[in-house]
Amino acid sequence: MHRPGENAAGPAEAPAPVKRAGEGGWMERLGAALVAPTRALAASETSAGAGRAPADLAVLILAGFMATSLPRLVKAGWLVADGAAMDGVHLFLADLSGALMAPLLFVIVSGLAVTVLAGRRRSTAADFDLACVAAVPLAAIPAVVQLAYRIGAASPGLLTAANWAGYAWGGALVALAVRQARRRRSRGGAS
Amino acid sequence: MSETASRARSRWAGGMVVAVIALVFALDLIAVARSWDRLRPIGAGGAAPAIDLPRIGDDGRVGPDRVSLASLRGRVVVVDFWETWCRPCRESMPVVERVTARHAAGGVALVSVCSDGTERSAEARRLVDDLAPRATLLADDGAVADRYGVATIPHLVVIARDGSIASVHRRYAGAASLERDLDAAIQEALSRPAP
Repeated sequence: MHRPGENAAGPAEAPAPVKRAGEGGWMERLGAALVAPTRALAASETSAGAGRAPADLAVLILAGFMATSLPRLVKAGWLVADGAAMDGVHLFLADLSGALMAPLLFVIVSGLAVTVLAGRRRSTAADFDLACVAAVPLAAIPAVVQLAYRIGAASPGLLTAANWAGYAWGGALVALAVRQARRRRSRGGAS
Repeated sequence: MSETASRARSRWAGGMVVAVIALVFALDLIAVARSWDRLRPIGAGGAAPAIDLPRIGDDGRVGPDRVSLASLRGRVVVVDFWETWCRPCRESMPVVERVTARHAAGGVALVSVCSDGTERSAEARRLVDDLAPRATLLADDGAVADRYGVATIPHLVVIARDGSIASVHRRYAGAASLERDLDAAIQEALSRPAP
């Protein structure tokens, strides 16, 4: 008995799908923003990659938030369970907004900067996709530093320094994003 | 660098980030499992966790003298957890001061625990002098607030004379309700027999 697509000699020889830039998995897109930013930025402007960067960034931020805020999330859960639901919700929302604030502000400011600096080649949606790629280091660095902090290899001062390094890294990516936006062939053209 | 190598490097970097997040989550999971009970907010009936903190002096400096909860045993103690940036805390302070002053003769002490007091002791001193001058002001680095399960501030704990928690009041919903609730809680704690 053979499954569909197989013959007696084994699986049918089918041409391997060719993955284009922007078609890699979430982990690959995330890693590209860190180690191959030019490729990641270009991929975000392809038809396959358009619109993925904001979702990728959101997943990264939420995963980081869940990982680094677990004790406080448990505390919020206890408050809800103990009948202080408003306090639990308040604690949860305060922590969530704290986690979202910096990357969201960064995306808004850098997205606007890319839009303005792209001149006639601006495309608002694509510009904010680029900004989301540029924000990946900002969202990834805190997790790395939190790990170092938890195993006793980092001080609170280093947390602050690492956050600033994240901004600097993100800023460099914004510069690349502007260059990417200015290379577009025509206005409105996520190609 | 070839496209294939670049993509492999990207997958490796993305995998590292995911691994780091997973590791932080695992470490926190262990920490949560170890301190499960400590994360639960402390409610009425349980024994009040120990407090032994440096006092913020009249000059706004921390220490050297310390105040412990044990030294106040035999009195009803109202512990007010707050931080200098917290506006509702500042708004609630005069109410707490007024209610505790009303019962001072009955043996009620007000202890003001400033959770950012080790860093902002002078500002904490000025605020308490203005808003709750009868309070004993202590500097906390967050450890005691953590032991009391303080999640939102202001957070008031009324401790009975036997060292058990009589009631907990979270957040500030207005002067009238706080005055009514705190007054009733202090009266209830005072009505309990001394140890």
